[in-house]
Amino acid sequence: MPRRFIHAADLHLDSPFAGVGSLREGFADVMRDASLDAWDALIDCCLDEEAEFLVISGDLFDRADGTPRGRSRVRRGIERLQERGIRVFAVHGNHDPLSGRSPLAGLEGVHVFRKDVPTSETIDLPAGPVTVHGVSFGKREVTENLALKFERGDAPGLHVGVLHCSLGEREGHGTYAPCTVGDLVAARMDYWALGHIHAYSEEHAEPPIIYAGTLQGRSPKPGERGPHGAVVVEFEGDRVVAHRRVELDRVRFEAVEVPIEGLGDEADLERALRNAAAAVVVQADGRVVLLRATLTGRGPVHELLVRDEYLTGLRSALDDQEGDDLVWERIVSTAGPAVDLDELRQSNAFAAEVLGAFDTLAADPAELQRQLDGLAKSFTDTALAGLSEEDAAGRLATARELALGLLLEQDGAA
Amino acid sequence: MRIARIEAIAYGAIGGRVVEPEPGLTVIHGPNESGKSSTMQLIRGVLFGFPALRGEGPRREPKGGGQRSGRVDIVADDGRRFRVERTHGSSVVITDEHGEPVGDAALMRALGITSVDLFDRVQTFDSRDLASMGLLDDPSVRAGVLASAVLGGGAGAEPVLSALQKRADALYKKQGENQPYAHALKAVTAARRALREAEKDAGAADRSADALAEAEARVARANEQLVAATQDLQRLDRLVQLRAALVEATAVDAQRPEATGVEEPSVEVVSEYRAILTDLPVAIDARRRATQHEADAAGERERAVRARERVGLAGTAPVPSIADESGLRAAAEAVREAEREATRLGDVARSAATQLPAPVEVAAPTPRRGLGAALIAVSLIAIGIGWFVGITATIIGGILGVAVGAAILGGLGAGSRPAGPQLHATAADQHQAAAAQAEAVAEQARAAWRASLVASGLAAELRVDQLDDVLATFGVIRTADDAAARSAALAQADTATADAIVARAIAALGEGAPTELEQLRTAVDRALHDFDAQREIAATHRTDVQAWQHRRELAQAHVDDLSRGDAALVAAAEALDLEQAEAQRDVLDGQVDAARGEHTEAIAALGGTRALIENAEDSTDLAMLAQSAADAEADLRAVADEWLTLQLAHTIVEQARDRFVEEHQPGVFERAATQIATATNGSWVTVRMPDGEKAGARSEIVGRDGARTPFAELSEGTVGLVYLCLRAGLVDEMHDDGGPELPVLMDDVLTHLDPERRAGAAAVIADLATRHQVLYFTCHPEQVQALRDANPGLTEIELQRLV
Repeated sequence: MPRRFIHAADLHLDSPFAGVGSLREGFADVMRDASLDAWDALIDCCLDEEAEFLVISGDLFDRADGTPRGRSRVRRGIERLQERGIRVFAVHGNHDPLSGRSPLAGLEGVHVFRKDVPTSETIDLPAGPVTVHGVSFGKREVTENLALKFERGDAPGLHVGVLHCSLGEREGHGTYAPCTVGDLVAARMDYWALGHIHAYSEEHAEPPIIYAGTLQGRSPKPGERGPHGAVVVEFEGDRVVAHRRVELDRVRFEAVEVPIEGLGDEADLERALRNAAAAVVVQADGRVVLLRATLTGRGPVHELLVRDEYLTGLRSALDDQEGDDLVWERIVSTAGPAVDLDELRQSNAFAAEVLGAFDTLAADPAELQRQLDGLAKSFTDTALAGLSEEDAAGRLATARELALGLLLEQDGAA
Repeated sequence: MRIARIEAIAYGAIGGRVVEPEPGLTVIHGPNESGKSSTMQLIRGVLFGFPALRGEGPRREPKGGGQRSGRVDIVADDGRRFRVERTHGSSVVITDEHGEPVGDAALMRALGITSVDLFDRVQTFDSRDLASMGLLDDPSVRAGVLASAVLGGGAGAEPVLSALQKRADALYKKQGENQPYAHALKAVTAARRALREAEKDAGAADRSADALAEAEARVARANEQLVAATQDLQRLDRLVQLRAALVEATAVDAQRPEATGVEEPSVEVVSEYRAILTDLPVAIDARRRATQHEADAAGERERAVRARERVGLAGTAPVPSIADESGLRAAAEAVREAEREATRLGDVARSAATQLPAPVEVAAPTPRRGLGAALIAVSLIAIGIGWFVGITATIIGGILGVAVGAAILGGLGAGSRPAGPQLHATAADQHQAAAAQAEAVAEQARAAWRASLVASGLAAELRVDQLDDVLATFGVIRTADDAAARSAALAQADTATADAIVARAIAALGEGAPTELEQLRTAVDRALHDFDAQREIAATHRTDVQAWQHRRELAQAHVDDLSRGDAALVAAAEALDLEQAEAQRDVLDGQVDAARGEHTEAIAALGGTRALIENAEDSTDLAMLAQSAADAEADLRAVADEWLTLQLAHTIVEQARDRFVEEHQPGVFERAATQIATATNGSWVTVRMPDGEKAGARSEIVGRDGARTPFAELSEGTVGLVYLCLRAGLVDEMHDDGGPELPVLMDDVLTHLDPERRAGAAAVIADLATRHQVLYFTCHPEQVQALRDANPGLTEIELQRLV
């Protein structure tokens, strides 16, 4: 009969959600406790699955020493695991590097892998021996390839590698401990429990090389959206026989695209948004959904969208009518006016010149970035770091439709 | 289009005025306060709407009250004439030459533009515009100047740019304090500050391990201090106590009990005396018994002597043994048997002798074979026993017995031979012989009996019939001898016992001790009484000494307990100055109190830290503040994000506009160059403006010789002239690029020019008027004259002063 272990990563316990902004009243508590409630759900999962052990692939906390509340909750959770003899193997990642004393140090039943050099720990289970290999980050920015340092050794039984690393370059994630799938395969582990990338990702089938993704989505960014949780890994002897995701998040970030084609007026627009939201809420299975809607396409309601504060007002209007399971986080628009851009490009109008300017920049991302960086120089606050690099193409599209809308409005008025 | 008629219905002070310009150049002149500017403003107001606010231009409310209103008749390029009548606050009314409304479209088509701003920038200008020519190096001014260039597409960049900038500025402006960005930034700052404060407050808890370790270390340090101070105090107390203990020990030592001078008998001596005293009655009794035993022995010996005498046994001869007795018995039996036989045979012989006996067969005497054999056997046994025991008498007796037995057997054998027929003949004889023989045998038996007696040391006179007495005497002798021996032995033993005790007593008492038992007992008893007295004295002394020793041991134990073998401490105690010690104790008491206070505080601080950690672990404040800060940052980012998008759109539209402008600049400049050359008689041949909006780029004018002179270095008059040429070129360019034909309104643009340049400028205006309707408003006659000189066919309309 297969035995199981649980693979979790990037928990960032008790850290604030980023990029959410002010939400309507009543959701502060839910948001504040979401990551810790997800941790409790992870512990429940370990107990329910009768797991042999739990591996944590880094970034348990958002900073090296965590928070008092987070440490307390972790301690209680591990005590629950300890009561059932479930061991915990953990590495530290770039957010919580092992620069001093680990917040997990001294907790019974927990093995924290040392920094810089991979080590291994073997446990003798009734189903056979299991050797867990791992290495912690000693500092935030680890640039060396740690995967090359792993060695399976001759010990019998299952071998699990635990590593916080970057498999290639990923948007929105710093490149730390870079390595390749080939590097990992060469280490001859039976399962690679990876951390750092917040979206669940199966990088390789045999052996399984898996990013568990963050336990709880942390922001409206694409990688944080959708279901989040952990991985249940089933093994027999020295072989992983199956693995599956379990959804443990308590708050879910979702995004919908709502095309405005065919929408004649504001009522149509609101209806379309609500319909799109309803489908997402059903899939969230009772969780609180923080929804970002992006209006796309072209249509006459674009005239509304370019009005000052219109989208903000629309979001508030929708949000005020929702229940406890849905929060409209933001409504953005890349939609445009109901014009044929190709036809416009061929015209002699100034709008054609404007459209051409946008087209030119769209074809030259470096120049676009340069211009955005120049504009963003005004912003010195750290909260705005990287803003100019965020979805430059999308921003250009939004700007284009905004400008075209205004230009054509002028035309229309003419 | 051109303007054919201007009528002020109600407008400032010119209500009722009608002006009818002609195609080409119309100069409308008059003195100050004749309403020239009002007429210009009326045209603009009727065509584009009256300014609603003061900032949008002169309002020129009608002096007679009511709403501003006026009419402007225009002749479209196709020759159709329309009347535009506008009353502020009401919609504009367009009618054709028949007075029929024709709708706004006709006006729009005629104007070709919607922006009053553009009309102001291109079609309307005055002397102040010319004066601002030096600002051409300002990109915005240049863009404005060249704005007409973008009108060819039928749309204006400026409204779009303005709208984008307005929205962007509404979000964020440098140094702005009322925009959402500023508010969001303040919120971020405040949230961060609150978070920092909370983190600072929770800092100890956040660094829980360190904080806890520090608090625990403080407790440990305080404890060490307390222990050290307490130890110092305890050491001092111990010194003082030790000092007192040493004094006490010395005092006790001096209280040792004096010796008594009495020699205490040893336990062994006393025990010996007591044993002697106990044994002396035994000795007395033993001696008494010995005397009795000796008497008994003497009596028994006397009895034995008498018994011996009775059987003739010598005093020293041993009593015959049992074997001897057996021999004696056998000999006696043999005697008695032989005597009985002899008697019988004698009786027979006597009988035979007295009675004639018939021939009868006389039975011969029967030999006593059994007797002889028995005697031999007994004798042999006696010999054996005698040999074995070593009793000669027995052996001899045995030998005799054997001899007797053998005699009996021999004698009897002869006599027992069967009597033949001869015997019968001599029966009496035979009986006689047999009796004699029997008597001989008897005699032999008696001889043997006597021999046996002698052999046994007995008197030979003893008879066989005395045998039992003899034997009984033997028993008496033996009994007496034994009793005497026993008594003698007992006497000897008792005497030895008594002697031994006496010897011990004498040995114990020593020289001069009595020998008599009772005296000895008295002496020993007295000695024991003396011993008891000595021992009591010794015991009392010993008790005193023991009590002293105990006190001494206690005192020493106290010293040892306090000093714990520390010689230095003892030395220190001995050298201790008690007064100084008391003072030092006060100091140490203070130190202990201080250390105890610190210890208490440290424990409280530790508890506080633990409580802080527990509170921090249970508190959601930090998380909420962190989330608030993150939310504020998100809000700030959202504002900045929107601003960035707006600014990007603005930048790109601006770039498009500039590019569009750049593309159309050559035409403007070519036209302007022609005008400039005309106006300056060829001194300047063209102008050049910098590309785009490069910082520091300067507009230049190029002379006949190709020399370039920055605008900023030109005289005011030349700048005005150049500006006029550029504006003329713009008007031409706008029109030729597909823009509508519009009248050009000029207000005293020649004011700041010297006569030469004024003439040149007038020529430019006159030239412009050959292609467009020009309405020139002035109050300066020299300007009118200059224009007349340049265009003798111009139309002049003179206005009268209104007041």
